[in-house]
Amino acid sequence: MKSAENLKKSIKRLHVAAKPELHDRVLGGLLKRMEESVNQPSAITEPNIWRMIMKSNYTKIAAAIILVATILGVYIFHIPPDGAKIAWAQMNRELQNVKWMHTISVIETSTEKKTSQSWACYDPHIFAAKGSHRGTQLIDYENGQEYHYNAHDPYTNEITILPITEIHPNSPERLDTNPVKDILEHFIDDEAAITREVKTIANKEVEVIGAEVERHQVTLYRDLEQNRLIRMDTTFSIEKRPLDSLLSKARSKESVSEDTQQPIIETFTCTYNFDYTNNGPKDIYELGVPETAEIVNYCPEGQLSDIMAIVSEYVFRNYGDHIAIVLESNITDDDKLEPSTVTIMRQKGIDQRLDQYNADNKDSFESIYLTLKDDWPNLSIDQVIQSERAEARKYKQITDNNRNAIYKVSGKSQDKVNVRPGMNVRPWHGGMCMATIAWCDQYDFTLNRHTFKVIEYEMLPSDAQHENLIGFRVSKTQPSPLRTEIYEYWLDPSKDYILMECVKYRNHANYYWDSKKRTITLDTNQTADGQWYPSHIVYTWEYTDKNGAHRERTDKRIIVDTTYAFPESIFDVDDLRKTFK
Amino acid sequence: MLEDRLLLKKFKNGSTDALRCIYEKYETYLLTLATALLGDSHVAEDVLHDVFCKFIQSRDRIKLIGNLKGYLGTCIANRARDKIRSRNRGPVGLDATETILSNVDGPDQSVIWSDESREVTQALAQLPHEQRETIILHLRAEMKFRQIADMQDVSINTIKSRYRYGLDKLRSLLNREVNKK
Repeated sequence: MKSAENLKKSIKRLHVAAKPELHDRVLGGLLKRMEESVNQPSAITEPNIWRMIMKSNYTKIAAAIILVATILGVYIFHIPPDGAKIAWAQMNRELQNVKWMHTISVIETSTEKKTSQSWACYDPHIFAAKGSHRGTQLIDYENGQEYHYNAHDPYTNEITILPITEIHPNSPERLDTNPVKDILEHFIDDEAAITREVKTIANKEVEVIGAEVERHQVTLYRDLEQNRLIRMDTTFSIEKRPLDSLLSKARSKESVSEDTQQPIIETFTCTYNFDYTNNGPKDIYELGVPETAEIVNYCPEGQLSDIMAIVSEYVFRNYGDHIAIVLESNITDDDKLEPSTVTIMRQKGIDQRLDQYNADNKDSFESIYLTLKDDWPNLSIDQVIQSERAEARKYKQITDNNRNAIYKVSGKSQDKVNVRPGMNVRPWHGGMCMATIAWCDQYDFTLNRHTFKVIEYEMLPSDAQHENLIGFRVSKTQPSPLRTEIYEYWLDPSKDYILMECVKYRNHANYYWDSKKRTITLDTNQTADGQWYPSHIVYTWEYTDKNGAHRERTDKRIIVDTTYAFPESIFDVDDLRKTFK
Repeated sequence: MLEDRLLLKKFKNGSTDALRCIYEKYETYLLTLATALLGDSHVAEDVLHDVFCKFIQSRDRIKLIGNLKGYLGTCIANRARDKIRSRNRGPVGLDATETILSNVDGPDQSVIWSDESREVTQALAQLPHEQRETIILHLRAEMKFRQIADMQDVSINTIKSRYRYGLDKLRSLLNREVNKK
């Protein structure tokens, strides 16, 4: 007779192995198929421009331009068939297969004119540029490295090599790419007025396609003989906050209300000329960087590089659609928890929302302490959601990428909403989100790189306290005066590489020394779809200042739910704006 | 785990060696899963092959949330379910169940069974597919009830019921066999 337990054990022991003939037959067929797939790229492996644009945070002008052409091609579908539709479709296909695209950009505003050049290649994926405000850069996406040289900095003659991650692109949103994306949004959402004519320009027969939506105009020039996009002109206007408001904000360190400032309309006129080549810059020296420049490499190498590539994927995903609750308490000297802050993080698609509330037991602030104190810190998501009270807020932010706007509410006394319309905004991978709590990000290694010139990486051997964990050390040194920063990370490869322990040691800062910040994950949990997250963290900061030695401890309890159904207007920036008007 | 991630990364970059390593590492596990789910080692071979073909074809788009073993296991379960549905849509003879069982026992086998596995798989084949899938995915593939519920698009309570009823029925089937002997 089989008992239930024996039966379960039998099922767990189920074992069916392939005989060698089957193994060889199936594997042989698969390897052949794999080789064919690699050698003859299918439609799936061809460059997918949409994917490139949407996936890549470091969208570059050439890719964006191809997308404009593609979208305009779609618009042309509505024009009665006369061959143009086929020609544009062909051109779009060919543009996606060009080896290198070279672009000369001229951007003019009422006050200045900038010229820059860029080269883009998708196989291998490389982008190079010079003449922009970023100096000279070559980004090798395949190897995850950016080479950067700043010719405008008279004090350095350095080529900096930085790791590229999808989270922190190391190349901030560029003025010359944002407008293109902005225009695209309009083309997609609104009906563009399209004009089309054939002209002779510089002895070439050229088809000129114009599209106009509100304050945006785009004109594309297609060489009819070569069937190539050779030029694009764009004119667009954006609203900018007045400089004096920004300055006054900087001086007073207070937020400036949208209502107190009059927007300035700035018009940009841009011209992009394209040509296509089989070769592009192989390295940064071919962009004119002197060979005498010193190389400073911040990239992890070998095993650590592989590990960080894996971690970056987790960080970029950031648990997908989810709600996360962080209950933060101060730990007293007698090990009691004093509630301090409740943070609610929500993400759905590219929309994100962060709500932070006071939860401390102090009369001087509005707090949600009274409603939560009885069950603290063992609260459910529903309990926390039900306790949300506008008066107790510390900070609120919604990123609505579709409308390119950020709304912020900060501080109890100001009660103001900062509005930044017309800006392209990414989800906050680098900010307050679950990914930054659960994982380490190699972007952190390069922080303060202007101070700490020397950086070393070292894998750490596993020890009794860190069994089955992967450990590594990042050491940063400032030669004179001698200062060091040492980070030690321990990741759990069996739990999606989440951070189990992190120690950050700094021997000297401006006002304190011997600083040791230690974060330990005491407990972990899994979401319904199997993603691991730290569910209990303790953070300890020990340091010495002129008053002696100090120790601060914080306890964080975390719940992540990837099945949560969000209310309709939870990511509505207008709703938040109305609430705090 | 680290090895899997690196293998997957290399596989996505087009490495046939990485594909070989992944296949050899999980072949037995996946074949066991497929055979147990389908009750038919021949169809299980097809499912294993199909899943890896799809794996190769869509390698650029693979974005792993959990681990590779779980991912491939889920692919096997999904493909097996498709096979069963298409089989159910086709002409079904009165001896359909017997046909499944004969493929477990048949002489022209390209797989190697342990005696216990053969016996349990034969019994599993007599369960409704939903119960069989729940039991195998929970016990052999070590999936949580929540994950199985999401996969089958039913509530977690339904999954727990399927698991409980399935196990009870399986136990009685196996004990009946023991009594016959």
